[in-house]
Amino acid sequence: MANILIAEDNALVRSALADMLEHAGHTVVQACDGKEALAALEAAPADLVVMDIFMPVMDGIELIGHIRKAWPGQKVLALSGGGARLGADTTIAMMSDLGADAVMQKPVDNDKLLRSIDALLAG
Amino acid sequence: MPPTEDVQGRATRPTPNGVSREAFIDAIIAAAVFIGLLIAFMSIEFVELLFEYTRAGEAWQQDELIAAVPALALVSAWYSLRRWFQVSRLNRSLRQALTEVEAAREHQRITEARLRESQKMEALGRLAGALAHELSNMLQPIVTLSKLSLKRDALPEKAAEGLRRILEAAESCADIAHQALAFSGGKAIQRDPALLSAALSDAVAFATSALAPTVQVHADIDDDPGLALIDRIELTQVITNLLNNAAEAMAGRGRVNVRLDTRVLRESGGNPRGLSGGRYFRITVADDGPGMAEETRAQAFEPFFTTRAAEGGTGLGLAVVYGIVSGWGGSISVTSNPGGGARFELLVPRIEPASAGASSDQSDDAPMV
Repeated sequence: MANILIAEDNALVRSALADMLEHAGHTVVQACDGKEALAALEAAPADLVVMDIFMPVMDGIELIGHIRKAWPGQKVLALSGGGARLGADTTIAMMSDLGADAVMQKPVDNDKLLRSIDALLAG
Repeated sequence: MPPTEDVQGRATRPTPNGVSREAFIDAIIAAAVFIGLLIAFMSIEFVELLFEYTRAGEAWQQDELIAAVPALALVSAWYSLRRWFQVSRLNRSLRQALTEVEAAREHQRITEARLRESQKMEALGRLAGALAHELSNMLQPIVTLSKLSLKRDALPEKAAEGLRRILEAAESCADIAHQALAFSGGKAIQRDPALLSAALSDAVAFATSALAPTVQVHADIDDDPGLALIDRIELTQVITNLLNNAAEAMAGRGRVNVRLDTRVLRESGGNPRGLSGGRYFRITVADDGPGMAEETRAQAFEPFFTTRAAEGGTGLGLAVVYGIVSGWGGSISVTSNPGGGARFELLVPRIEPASAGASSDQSDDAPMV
């Protein structure tokens, strides 16, 4: 099982994802914005970062930029709520261009998310 | 008053009452001649005075008087005719200028209406996108925790049934969020060049199969080598929504005509749809239902606008169609009269196959719109 860092500003979404991943046997660290996520990664490496895109303080777009510079091999899965301000097309294309290994649209089904996580960890 | 130009570009200086100076002077001269004649023939003293002054007291001969009257009448008629021609010419110019002003005003009105419509739909798209984003976010814990709870052991059956219903409701909400994203243009779609006539035939066949047999769908779609940058699933969604809309409008009984042809739009500003000039596929879906009132027609593509709320309509079907067609770089419009059915017209940019070349330009005679 893997160490997974969740970066998500919405506490309900974050805790629900954490419950689901822990139920699947993973160890989860939670961060409520990009800055906290960077601090958590510096403190302890993670096998996978599951991140929201729009967050306060530091959003997912900036976060993935920092991750790609500091930890080029870090696995990243981005979850998009639809990209309200930018549009889903733009958001998903941008996150892929920036180096997200996978981008999924919320609400994502538990089993689909777990299968994607397994595929990323195995890759 | 500053000089202006008439419709032929000639400079004119209008008098305060709007008649040209030339015609005005002619009218004054004609009036003076008329008044002079009137005074002359009504005042014996004046005639006598004139005799004395001009002929030193000699009496006028009768033939001289007879000759003077038609001469004066001719002068008067000349001025009158000349003025009549000038006023007629001026009237024609004014009518032509008025027609041009009316046409310019109409064009301005259409442009402003199109701009307002475009801004309104853009604002609605942003709103729908923002709502869909928030809805999708908040659905995540509902879906995740419901599914997680269903996996736990020893869950009472009634609680499990409740969770399954919560999941069903969440899936319906997610579907609405995805449709709202499609309207806002925020749905991620890979669009590839496709043979539109073949894709449309398939979409019509698919959509028709789900309709009641009492709804007759007549497709007039000829084979066409032209391509369009679309997604076939989106096209099926568009046609399904339009045919379902027609079937519901006709209360499940009637005829729908689907037609494909090509139109050529003039360059920007010359067409009423805000599209750039070029060749477009035109897909027409027309039903013989009761049609719709103007206020309904004007709001037909707005998200969450529905006339079938009681039957569970979400008001997203036509909004999704609008979003998809806009995403193709095309446009959709609807014309309808109460009792006269509804006619949806889609314009989709056309890509000619590279191998076809100029010789296959079979629709050069396509009408300009």
